[in-house]
Amino acid sequence: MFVYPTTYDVIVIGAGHAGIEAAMASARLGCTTLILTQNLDSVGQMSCNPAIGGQAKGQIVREIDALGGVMGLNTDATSIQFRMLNSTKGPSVRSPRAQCDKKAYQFRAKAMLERQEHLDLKQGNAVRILVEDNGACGVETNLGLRFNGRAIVITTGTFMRGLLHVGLQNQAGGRMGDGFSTLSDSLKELGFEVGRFKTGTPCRLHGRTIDFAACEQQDGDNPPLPFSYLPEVLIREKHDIFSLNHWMDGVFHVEQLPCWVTHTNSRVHDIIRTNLDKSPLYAGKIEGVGPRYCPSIEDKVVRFAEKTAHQIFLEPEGRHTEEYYVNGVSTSLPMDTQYAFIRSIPGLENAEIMRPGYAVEYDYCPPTQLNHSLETQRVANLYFAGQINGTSGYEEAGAQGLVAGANAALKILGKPPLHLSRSDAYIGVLIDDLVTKGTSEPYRMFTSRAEHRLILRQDNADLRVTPLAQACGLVSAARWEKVQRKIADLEQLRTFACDTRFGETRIAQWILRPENSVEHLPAEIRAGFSADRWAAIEIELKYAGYISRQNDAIERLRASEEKHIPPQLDFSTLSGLRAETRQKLTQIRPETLGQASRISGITPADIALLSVLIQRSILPGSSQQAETPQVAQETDHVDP
Amino acid sequence: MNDTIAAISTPLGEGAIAVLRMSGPRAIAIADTVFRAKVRARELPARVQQFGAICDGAQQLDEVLLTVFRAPHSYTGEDLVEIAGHGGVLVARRLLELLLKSGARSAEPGEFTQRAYLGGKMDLTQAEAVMDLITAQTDLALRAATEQLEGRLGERIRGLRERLIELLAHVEAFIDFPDEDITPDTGEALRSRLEIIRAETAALLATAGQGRVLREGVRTVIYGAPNVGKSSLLNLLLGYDRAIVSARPGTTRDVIEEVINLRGYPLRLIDTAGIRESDDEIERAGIARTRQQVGRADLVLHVVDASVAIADFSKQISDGEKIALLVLNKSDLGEHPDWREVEGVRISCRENAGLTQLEDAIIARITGGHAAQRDWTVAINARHQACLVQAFHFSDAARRALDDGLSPEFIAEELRAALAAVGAVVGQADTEEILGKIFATFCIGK
Repeated sequence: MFVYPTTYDVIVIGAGHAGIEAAMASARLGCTTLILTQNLDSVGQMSCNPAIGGQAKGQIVREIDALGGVMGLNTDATSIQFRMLNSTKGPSVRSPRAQCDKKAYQFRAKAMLERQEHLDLKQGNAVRILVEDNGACGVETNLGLRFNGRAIVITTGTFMRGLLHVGLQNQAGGRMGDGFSTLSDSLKELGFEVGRFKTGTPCRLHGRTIDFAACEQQDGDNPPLPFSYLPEVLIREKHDIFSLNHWMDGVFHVEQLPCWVTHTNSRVHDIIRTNLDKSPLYAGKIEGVGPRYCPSIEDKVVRFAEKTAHQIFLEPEGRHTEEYYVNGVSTSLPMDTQYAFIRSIPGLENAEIMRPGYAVEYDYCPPTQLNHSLETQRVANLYFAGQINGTSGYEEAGAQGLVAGANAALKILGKPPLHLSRSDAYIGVLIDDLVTKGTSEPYRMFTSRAEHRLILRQDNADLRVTPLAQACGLVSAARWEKVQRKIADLEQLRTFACDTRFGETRIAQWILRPENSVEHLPAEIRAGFSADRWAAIEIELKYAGYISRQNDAIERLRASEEKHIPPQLDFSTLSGLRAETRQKLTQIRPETLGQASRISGITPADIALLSVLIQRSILPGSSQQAETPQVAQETDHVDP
Repeated sequence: MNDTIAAISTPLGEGAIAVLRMSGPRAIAIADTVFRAKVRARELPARVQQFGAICDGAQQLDEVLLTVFRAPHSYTGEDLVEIAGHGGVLVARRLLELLLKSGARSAEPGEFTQRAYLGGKMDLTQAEAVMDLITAQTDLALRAATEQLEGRLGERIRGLRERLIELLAHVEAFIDFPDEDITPDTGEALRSRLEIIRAETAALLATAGQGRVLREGVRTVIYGAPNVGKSSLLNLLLGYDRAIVSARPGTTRDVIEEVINLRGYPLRLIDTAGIRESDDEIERAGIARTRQQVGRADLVLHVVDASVAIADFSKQISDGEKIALLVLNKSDLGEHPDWREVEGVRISCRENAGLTQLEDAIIARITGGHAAQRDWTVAINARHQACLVQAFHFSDAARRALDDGLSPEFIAEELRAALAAVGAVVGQADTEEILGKIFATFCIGK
């Protein structure tokens, strides 16, 4: 056993989207950090769709950026198409989405890791987590190498006991062409519960064999809107060959590529239906649970038999490749069936499949074993992020990575953790859902999961979370300065809108009429403030009623959200609670009364009892009388 | 704990008094909106009982003793108001409904106690004791709720919940899957779904009155000037002589209560002392009780002697009194011209005439004219009513948002609130349930 001479503050296992954010956050906080990956050539790889953002996910990327993370800027630098989804709907459900150049994205990410201070990037296959005094203290690789670390973040994606299926053939691997990991065996030994999920990906086609004339063209937005709140740092540098896009003279320069739309038909469906017996899913070869929102084409054909056509997007994988991603036909059918049904789709009659679609099964650890900091309850200083927690999606992974990496570092530094609540961010909703409710399928974010959706907008992520990141030391001086300037500007503009008359009324009143908008104001009135400031104030004023309603709701919940349950409280010994309640509390170990109330099956009466018991556990020993309670007096009835 | 909760804190039933409690930052302010007395609630010294009336607008519901406790010197540690009213489930419920309408929220089981703990008003021993109590109460409340929610009522409210989830699934799918090849309902299709929900909520709300009637009987007060034939009318409706009838005004000095079955409807008939200026102490006390009874009535049969001219005061009582039914007695003596234009039921107790018309009119009043649709298995209680009123309010707001062309997330906002209100009766729906509906209804998955 070779013990590596450096003892790291934080070791991150895995260099996917979660691992990158985790390592960067830890290193930015000044902790010596190691990021360990099985393959240095697949850092930040987009194993599925080479796209970032989308409904709710786009908001998450904006939040990651506002917390000082890297996903937003890396997307801005390497994207080949930008679109704002739901642009005709209200501001809170608009979401940015970008199609990325897959290779540029990952090479740029690797270069960034290599240049980050306090961060070492190494290739190695972690097989064991070392634990001492119930705290994680190191990692062992399959080559007998030992890295000592004070905290460990595991971000293994689909690699733990990954199993790939094409038809009835299968092979071990976390991604087609790559190896797998046995790390879940080590986690089981440590007592962690391990479950099995499944996901899938479609085939990739050679662009020169696609008849685009038979497809409908879908272009990006013009002008493209960047994800990052600091896009101006994207200047063209001499050796930065992986940044495709740059910021110059106040303009975001992007050369965009189109996507293409075609449809399946009944012939495609017939081919799939007659070959279902060769599907590992239908042949019972797959035990892992797949996501309902991302069904395979065989699932769609079976479950929605009445639908005669399904939409398919053909998405370029980059500017320097001819590979196209076939969005909508995720499948694990055998190659001959894939070949037959793909060639029955209009525009794809002569398409050459470069890589087959496949399903992947992998181990995950039910996330109810975690605290909100993403530290495990079982082993101190051990953190999980990404698909190991049962989530899906690069954005969900990146968000957890950032929180886990930051919290691992903050703990080593002896500082309080970074906590985002459900009313702060989608990331707060994501983590609270995971640790409180767990998940029965790979978890993806939807805007409908956020009860405070109207205030968790893509336009205000910086106002919501940058101050929280600043308090932890996660953001740069430039970013903090920019947010403070925005806050000050908005304050001024608010006053201006309330004081300045336009026609009969003041602007703040005038804007409330549905037919009025800032664009209709004369240029000289608008001149003092930039368009994005006006847009922010317009949202604030126009939706003031709804926004204040959500703020009231948040305020109402605050007391119970702030009522902490002592971490040492043993729920199983609490008499008076129903057995079912005790069991659930023991399993989830809620950190606050508010979190306890969100556990499924917990009633308001349970919470009433729990609050009493907490009170008791906090009060020192014997009966301490707070004050004589004014119990309702017995009054004789006096007939008035 | 920044909302204000209210509940009836005495056991339901015919006790001597019923006590309502309201706790929270707005307790005193809410009390002031409904309490009419010499001193406003906010000016009352703490822990001093004040006599006054609880009024819903112009209508007096009950005369009460009200006590204010100021934070932190109260049971809960918050501002707390106690209202001691007359016994009787009906009146207490009406008072509670009024408090809920005025901004309080119906308290969950054990919630006052919970607030007491959180407010630091309990020691360990008390905590242990009250805990058992909450558990017991919760069990009782659960059992009561289950019993009530089995059968038709539960079925209908669960149906309403399911409809709301379906509607939300359409709106949420429209928001969350813009790039998918799906066609969730929008515009008119959405509106018609919403209309069905509003209509069903309204129909359930309309059963609130029936529910009370079923449990307690319609409190029907026979009221009027002395010697117009009130006791004769009681005897007529009862079918036997319960009250002493004499030609002497002021014969009835106390309140007489009897329950009858009027074509299947339980009617709690209350005969009262005639109202007039009197020097007789006993009669004056009787008159005071009469006024109380009128305040608590579901229905007032205001009896007048139609053979004589209209007296000033009898006009006043009928004016603006929705629950009063004017009964013009002594039609056998010939009608005085004053009454010719007056609407009412004309009867003669002496000749047993007009009884059928009177019964028709009473039933029309208590059923709101929907006697044929009577369905006793469906009737909601005060808590259900408060929840459904909210649900109706929010589905109304959703329709307005739709009419105003607001973006779907605002319509969803109102619908979520409506679903939460209905969920408070039959179980909350979480996001998973809505997502489940979306994935079952639409083929999602690019």
